[in-house]
Amino acid sequence: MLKRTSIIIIGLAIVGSLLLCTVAYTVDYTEWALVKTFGEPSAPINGRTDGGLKFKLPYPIQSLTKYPATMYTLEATTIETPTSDNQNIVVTTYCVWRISDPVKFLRAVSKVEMAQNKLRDWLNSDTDKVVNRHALTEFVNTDGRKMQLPEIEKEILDRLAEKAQSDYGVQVVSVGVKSLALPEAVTAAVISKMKQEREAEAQRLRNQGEATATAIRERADSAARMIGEFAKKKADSIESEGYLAAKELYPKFKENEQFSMFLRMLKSMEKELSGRSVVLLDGSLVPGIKFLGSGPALPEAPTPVPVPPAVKGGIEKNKP
Amino acid sequence: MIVNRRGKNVAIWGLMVTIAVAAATLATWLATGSLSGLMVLWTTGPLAVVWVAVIILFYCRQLERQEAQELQAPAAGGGATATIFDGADAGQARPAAARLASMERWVVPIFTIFAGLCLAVIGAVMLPRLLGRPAIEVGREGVGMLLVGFAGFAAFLFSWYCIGLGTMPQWRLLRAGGSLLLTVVLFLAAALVAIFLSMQEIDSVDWVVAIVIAAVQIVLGAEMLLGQVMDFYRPHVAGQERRYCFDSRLCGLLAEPRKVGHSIAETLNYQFGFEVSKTWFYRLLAKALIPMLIFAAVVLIAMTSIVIMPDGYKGVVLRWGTPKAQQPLLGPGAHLKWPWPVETVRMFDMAQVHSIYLGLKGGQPDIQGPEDVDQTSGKRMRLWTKPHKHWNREERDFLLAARSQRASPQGGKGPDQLAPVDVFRLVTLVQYKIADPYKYGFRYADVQQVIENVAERETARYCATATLTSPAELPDQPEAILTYGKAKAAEQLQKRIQNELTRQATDVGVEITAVTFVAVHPVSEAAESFEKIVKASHEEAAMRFAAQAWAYQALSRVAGSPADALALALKIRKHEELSDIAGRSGDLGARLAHLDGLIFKVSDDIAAMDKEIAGEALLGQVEPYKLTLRDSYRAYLALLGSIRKSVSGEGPTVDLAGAVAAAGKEADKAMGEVSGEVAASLARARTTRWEVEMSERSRLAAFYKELPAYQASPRMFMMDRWQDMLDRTLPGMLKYVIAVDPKRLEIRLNSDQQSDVTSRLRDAQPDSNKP
Repeated sequence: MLKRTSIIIIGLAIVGSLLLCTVAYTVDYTEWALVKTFGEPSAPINGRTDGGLKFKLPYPIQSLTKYPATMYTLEATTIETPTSDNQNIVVTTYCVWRISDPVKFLRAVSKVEMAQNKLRDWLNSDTDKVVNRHALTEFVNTDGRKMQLPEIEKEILDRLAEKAQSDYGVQVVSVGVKSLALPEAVTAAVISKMKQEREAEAQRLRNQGEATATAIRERADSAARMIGEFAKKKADSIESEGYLAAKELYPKFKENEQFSMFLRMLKSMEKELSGRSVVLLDGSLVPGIKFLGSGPALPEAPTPVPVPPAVKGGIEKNKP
Repeated sequence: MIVNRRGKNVAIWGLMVTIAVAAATLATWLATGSLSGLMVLWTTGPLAVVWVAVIILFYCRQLERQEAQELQAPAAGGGATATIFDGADAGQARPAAARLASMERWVVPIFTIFAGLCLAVIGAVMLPRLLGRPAIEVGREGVGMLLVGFAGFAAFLFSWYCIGLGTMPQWRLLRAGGSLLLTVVLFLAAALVAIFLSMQEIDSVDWVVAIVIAAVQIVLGAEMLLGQVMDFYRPHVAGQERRYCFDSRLCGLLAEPRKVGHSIAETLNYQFGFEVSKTWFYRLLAKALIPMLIFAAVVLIAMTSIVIMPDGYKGVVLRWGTPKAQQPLLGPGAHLKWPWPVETVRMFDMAQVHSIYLGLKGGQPDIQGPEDVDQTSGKRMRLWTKPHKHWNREERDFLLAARSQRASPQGGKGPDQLAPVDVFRLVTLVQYKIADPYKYGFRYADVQQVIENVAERETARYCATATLTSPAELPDQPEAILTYGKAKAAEQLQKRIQNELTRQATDVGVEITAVTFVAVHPVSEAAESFEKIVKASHEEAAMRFAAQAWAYQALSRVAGSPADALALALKIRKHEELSDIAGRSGDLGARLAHLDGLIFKVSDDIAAMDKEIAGEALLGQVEPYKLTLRDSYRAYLALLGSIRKSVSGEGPTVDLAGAVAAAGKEADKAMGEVSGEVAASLARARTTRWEVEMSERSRLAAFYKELPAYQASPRMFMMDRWQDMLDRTLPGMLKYVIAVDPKRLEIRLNSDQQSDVTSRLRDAQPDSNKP
């Protein structure tokens, strides 16, 4: 009896649970919920603002459809399309979207996958149209003011958002250009161009090196010569001070000019002969030697004659 | 005979029910897309085969009974008349019995093997496919539930009817089809629950049920095949009831669940060696099993009210799927909450660093384990010139604006132009941590994909305005992403991605911890030309350094050091040029033009110095004297500017004479402070200056000292001093005395042999070996 009662209780509990499942439902924070009465949807319940435990009439009177209220990212098909200046580029865009009107969404597409497919088609089409209206330099440009990627993304967004909202009850939150590339054949040409540019750049660098080296040498040489000239001028000025001082002494030599000149010549001769020299003596002129040929006689005082250092004068000064 | 006919008819009905179930499940699958419905459909095929086997066997038995009765009838009438079958063997005498035996011997195994193979193959084919795909969303659940429910109810009633008949020996064959049909009913019940839960947005149960059905199919198929193989070796005793192999024992347990408990009890008794099943504990367990199960379920649910958060995790409590208002995040440790399903907790690992790779083809790589990198001489190497992969993912091309772009003459609307872009490869590692679990966990369906897309977009956008190696045209623009701008680029990219991910509309609640450039290089086909640039730049640097070394040497020789030399040169130049300006007069226009020329030259020199200093700054080795020198140039430029304004009357009057004098003093002062040839030259000049003066003074002193002696006897004095001089100088000298008449003497020196003569003359000297 007890066993049968237990079985009945358990059976009732199971049946009750199943019945409860048909009337109670929860709306998560990340969900939209639509309660349909004989297929006709009522006002959607937004889990973000009105989530939690809810109740409805059992199936088939009322049925429940839930949609995610979270944002989805949708990557478009990578497409090749020409720009306004006939440059083919390969573009991949994406969009972020979410269901904003679940009733419209239910009637128009009903499934997220289907909505993704429709949006992808639209995104591809809009990307193609917008890219066609812009030059390549508006996608890629070293001048940031001319690069128009944000504006291009906004153009695509504006086109897509209106259709998606009005037709599918979908809000397109943002659109982005995920990648830009070139078709394979164009890439090969660009690589070839890059190689040639680099070759030219390498040659330019070598030429620049030569020019820079020359400039550095010239600048240093110019500075050195300038300094040298200036220093020479300065040195001449200093030396001239010595001659200026000496000039003050010359009038005193006038007291006996011949004697002063003899002393100067004597000093000079001694200095010249103090080096290694070879002397050719004309025996006829030297009293001592003349004595060898003509016998003893009183020598005469010699007339001072400057002796040139060159060989031609009879004396050769050896080179060191 | 009637018994077999009835059995045959029931089996035919069984086949029809099976077909009806197949039709219902097919319709369910088409209407809902339910995977469990599809798997039930596949199970009905082997069931139909079993029913056909049962029908054939009943029919053969019916014929055999009929034949036996026909043979018994004459015998009962007492007729012993001979027939044409007399003398024939048993087979020829009873063809129906022989057919039945033949059926049991050949046809039943063939059917069994066919049914077993069907089940096993279907299960083996479907199981991996189901495991390899995600759960699908089930649609039109109401229709599916009705179809499955009605088919299951009908099949349930019929299967119990067959199982009931199968308890009697004459209809035992019906047990095979009935028990298998009951198994299908259980599958249908599971499918019904799965479709119902799909209606509650729990789609994964349908997928799990489909997998379980596939697994059960494999087990049942294996049981049939194995049983049939064993049956070949099993002895068959005449008169003993035979169990055919398509009559699954596993399905039989489902048909008679009481047998399960009985079997368990018998097993325990056998294992323990005494009547365990008769102990008080076993009996208590048997009586209180259901309350205990209920108690266990209650305990399990109660346990769900305890949450233990691991270290580094944060938890968000959801009540009926919604975060509680003002509820703080759960930190590490134990927490209490309402039991499931009232409250649940979503845990977020706040400490984990997530990684996303950008710039690779084929999505995110699997970065578990070591990366396979090309090796050269046993070392892991990744070179520009060799195409390489990252975790088996190829690198993707990025577009970069080329500076040498040719603008379209029609402002971008013209005909074909050379694409003003460069192509290069950039692999970036973006790392992030969860910063805000609410935004991270509840705003996006796939956060990782959002972050990846945003990071890809920002990278593409950054590269779209960046240069590869050259400086940017505008300030604050990305530049030289391949060379010196790389570190800055990574830093800026991190900021851009972070800003974009925290914008109001797309805030994902993450913190970008690092953006690292894993690889930045040109495409391998163009890599060699880049290396040529590197080579050329080294050659350029070598030429520049050689020139600088030469310049340093030249300047150091002149003034002791390049710094002193250049500073001195500037001062000299300044003095010279200012003197020149001061010396000019007359036409104002010509003077201004001259000044403009000087200003231009000095500005040009400053620009050259700026460039040189900037180049050295990149290498981190700016020589301080260059900065000082540049300041001096700037000061001179400012002075020239003041002078120009003064000359043109646009500014206050400048004391040009004073400036020239000051510049001269500066130059003289600097000249006195430097070393090198300049210092030596000046020192020599000073020496000469004093030598000249002192020499004359000493000569004057000698003049006055010896003048009295000269005046006393001029000729004697001169002779004496002359001879004294010769006495001092001639002794050490080689002398050739020409003792002949000089008029007869001619001295010739051959210039070609001068060196010989000179050397012979030198050799003749006593100190000829001295230098």
